[in-house]
Amino acid sequence: MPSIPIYPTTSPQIPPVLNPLPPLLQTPSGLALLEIQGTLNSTLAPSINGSLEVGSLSFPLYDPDSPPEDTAWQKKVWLYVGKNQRMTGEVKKLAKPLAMLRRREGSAEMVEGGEKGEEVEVVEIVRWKVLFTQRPEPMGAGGGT
Amino acid sequence: MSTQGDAGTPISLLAEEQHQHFRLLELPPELLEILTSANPPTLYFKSAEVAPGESAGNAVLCTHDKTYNIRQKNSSNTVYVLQPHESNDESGKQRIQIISQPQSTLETTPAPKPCAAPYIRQLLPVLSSTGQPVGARDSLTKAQLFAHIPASDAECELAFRDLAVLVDEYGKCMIPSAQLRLDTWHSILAAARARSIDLTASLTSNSVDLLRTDVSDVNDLQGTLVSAIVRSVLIQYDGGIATQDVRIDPSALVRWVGITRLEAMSAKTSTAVSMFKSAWKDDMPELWRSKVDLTLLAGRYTLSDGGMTIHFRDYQLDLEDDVSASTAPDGKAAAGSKRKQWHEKFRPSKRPT
Repeated sequence: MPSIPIYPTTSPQIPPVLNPLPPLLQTPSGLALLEIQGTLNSTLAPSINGSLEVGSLSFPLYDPDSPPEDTAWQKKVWLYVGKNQRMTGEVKKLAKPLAMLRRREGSAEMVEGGEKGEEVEVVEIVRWKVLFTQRPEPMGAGGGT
Repeated sequence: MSTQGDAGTPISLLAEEQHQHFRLLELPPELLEILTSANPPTLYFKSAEVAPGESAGNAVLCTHDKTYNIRQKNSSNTVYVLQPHESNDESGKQRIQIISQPQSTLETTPAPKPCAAPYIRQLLPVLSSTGQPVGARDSLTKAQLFAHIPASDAECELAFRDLAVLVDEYGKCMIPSAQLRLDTWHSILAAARARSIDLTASLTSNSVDLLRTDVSDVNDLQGTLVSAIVRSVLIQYDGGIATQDVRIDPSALVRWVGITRLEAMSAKTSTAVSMFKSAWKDDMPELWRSKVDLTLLAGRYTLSDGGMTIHFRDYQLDLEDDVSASTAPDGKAAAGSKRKQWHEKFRPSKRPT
């Protein structure tokens, strides 16, 4: 099989959209990782554009005016799911940073065997994730704090 | 507060058909450093070329000079990729969108030892002593050869040089047979003697040229072989200015000649250790005859009959060593894949993480 190039990230993109995550989780491409035990399922119909409202993500202890050494906020992250559930998680540093690879549209050049050359690129390098390992708690209708 | 007050940031899950596909690749410190350097190089996924029906070997990740084994790691957790997203309804309100759900992570570990030589021997036709390059037309160019070997370019280059691979006028590569290598080496020795060139001392490029033309006034391939042999046993200078003068590394030469002599002898008949060593000594320039030592052939020979008989150990066995080493903890090899898509080659590990 021909070798497949993995191209490094092109010059850091300025994300077109402001990133609502705390700076620690922000990356040049805007991409971030979230991990949960279990999966997000829904019986609701998706909206017109095909996406499904999950809920909301908040960092209740995060204060942008606090010094960076203050890391207590990382221990509490809330993921509100639907109208009635909330999961509590934390911001965690990855044991090993992860490169996020994506297939690039191949160049026009054909390689031997007539196959279009497959190409991959490093889209981002991520060092942190938001991790939820606890069971969701039921919340009162309208959500709680 | 960046999470827009107590309500947090709305988060939605993009429809699966619209998901992007990411692979997550673990970065040990060396790879992280390379990818975050000022001019990060291109890395490569490589794997061995296999015939239909054969189980594919593992894929590897290569930098210019290092090879990493890759293992697909599954987790019972679900990983989502988030991306900030501008919402359609209220202006200025930020949202988060889940745009992908990678199924696994790729774990990288440094490959225990280079394996390029067995693949080169496997992939190239052999040029025998008759000098007829049979099958060379179908052979590979150096670039094609390297593309099929699951090892870094630098490791491939090293093996290419050590094996004295020949490249013909069309750029096609061949392995000279053991007998051809041995005969050519003897011609080099004879030519050096005739011209009083001391092979154990510093050699000018002029001397090397003279040896080459003495050995092969007509057959270009054999002349190329002379250069390839000399190149494979030279003391390597790391960087620096290329000097006109070169020196042959005595240990490299002793090992190269020993392997060549053993492979040539083993092909014909069962070989007694004493006979082999005696022939090996005779193959060496006089000053270096005493350097002959079986330990220098480590990995390329086995003994039987209580140490009386010696056998050439095929390069293919090096690959089998690697396989058994990498499967020892699991007891199972990663399943192969006949498909050529790179993402298909990473079969799930049977060991849960």
